[in-house]
Formats: sequence, C-alpha cells, structure tokens
Amino acid sequence: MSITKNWWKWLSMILLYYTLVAGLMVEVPRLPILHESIRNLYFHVPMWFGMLTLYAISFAQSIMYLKNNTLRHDIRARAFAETGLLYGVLGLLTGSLWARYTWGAWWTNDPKLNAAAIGMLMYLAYFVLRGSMEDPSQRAKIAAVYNILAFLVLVPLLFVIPRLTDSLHPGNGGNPGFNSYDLDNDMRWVFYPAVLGWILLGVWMAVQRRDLYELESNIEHADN
Amino acid sequence: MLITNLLKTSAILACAPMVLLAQSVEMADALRSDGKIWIVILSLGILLAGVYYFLWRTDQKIDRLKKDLKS
Repeated sequence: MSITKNWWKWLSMILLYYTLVAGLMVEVPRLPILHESIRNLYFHVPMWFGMLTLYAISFAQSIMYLKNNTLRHDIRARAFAETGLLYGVLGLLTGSLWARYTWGAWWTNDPKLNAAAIGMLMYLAYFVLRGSMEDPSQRAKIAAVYNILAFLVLVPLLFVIPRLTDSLHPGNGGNPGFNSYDLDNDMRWVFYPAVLGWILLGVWMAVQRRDLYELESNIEHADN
Repeated sequence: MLITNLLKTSAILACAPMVLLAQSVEMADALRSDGKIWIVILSLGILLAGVYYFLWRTDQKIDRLKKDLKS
C-alpha cells in the first residue's frame, strides 16, 4: 500500500488507534447518569458525522451523473450511499443502547430519534428503487433524482427540525450542536480525531465498493 | 456586611451537595488503577488490526483484478 497514494488510509488507522487508547484512558467529566458512558461520544457520534459525509459524497455524485450521464457517477453514488446507510444503522444501534442505560428506554419518541429513523428508511427506499429497475441508464437517472431529494430532506430533518422542538438528545431543543454536551476541552482532543478517523474508514469501505462495482460493470461490458 | 456574608455562606452551602455529587459519581477508577483496562484496549486493538488487515487485503485483490481485466 503506497504511502503517497493511500496516506489517508494510514491516517485513519493512526487516528482510530489513538481514539481507542485516548478514548478509554483519558479523564472525562464526572457526570451522574452518564458515568463512563460519556465515552460513547467518541464512538456513537462519529457514526453520524461519517454517515453525513458519505451521503454528501453520494449526493454530489448524483448531481454529477445528471450533468454528465456517465454510469461511473451512478456507481459511486450507490457505493457511498450504501456505506452511509451502514454508518446510519450503526449509529442507531449504538444510540439505542446508550439511550437504554441513560434515558431508560431503547427507543423514545424523541424528534431526533424519529428523524434519524425516517432518514434511514428514506435511504432504504433508495435501494429498493434501484432494485426495481432493469435498464442501467434509466435506473441511474431516477435513482440520482431520488438521491438528491433524499439528501436535501435529510439535512433539515436531522439538523433543523429537532432543534425547533424539545428533545432529550443533546444538541437539540434550541441549543446549537455542542455546548450542551458539557463537552470539555479535553474531550475535543479525542473527539475530533475520532470523527476524522471514522469518516476516513467509511470512505475507504465506500471506495472498495466503488471499485468492485466498477469491475463488475467492466466484466458485464466485456461479456456483451 | 452581615447580610452579604450570610448570602455568601448560604451560596457556598447551596453548592456543597453539587460538589459532593461530583465526587461521588462512579467511574471506572478501580478498573484503571489496577491497569486491567489495557486488556480491553488490546483486545479492541487486535479487532481493529483485523479489520484493517481485511480492508488492505481486499484492496490488493481489487488491484489484481483491475490489472487482469486491463490485460
């Protein structure tokens, strides 16, 4: 693995090992109810940052597809959306576990939680839509339009609506993202590298999928 | 003067339970003091190494397939 071309893969590994050690060892604020589970900040929250980054790349690829009509962009949009969905599911699962032991229930009818669930269903529908069409260029065009729409709905759904109402989830109910976490400065030193590390890992997985689907389509063309 | 002193004292007294609360919050102090948290970190480190090894190997396989398809 050449370091000049794949430096970001190495970076992701270094950052995640740092996250692992610092995330479990460095002092965190002593807060009742949360206790050590505050360390979930380094693992649960980066899933959403990762999901959003991957969906944003997918969104950009869909726009590029509509501009250029090259299937390469459709393949990329699919690969990044799939990895984004994986991160979303992992974010929901870890969040649900965290909620069980801090809020007392696996799921609450919280606007942030419900919005996240709706967002996941929206992207599931993207794959159902893709699967329902045979013709590659028709599928690519309709899926691109849907994907653009889904992303444009997802952002206000996750980051605007929950802030307009009351929510148990930190960063909502009128508060801007972070201060309500009691995120002290020491935690930032672990949190931001953790976010970048998890994002880069997601990009790596998405790039592998992209390569695989490109190879697949090359083989199909060779057969015909 | 007396009133301000009284106010100060009562303010300090009012904060006392919070200080006590902050100290009595249970954390994994014992876990860390006997050093065994390292076992967890090492285990997770091994898992992470496995994931990265797998990704790296898959990269290699993809590169090989790309080369094969080109020729």
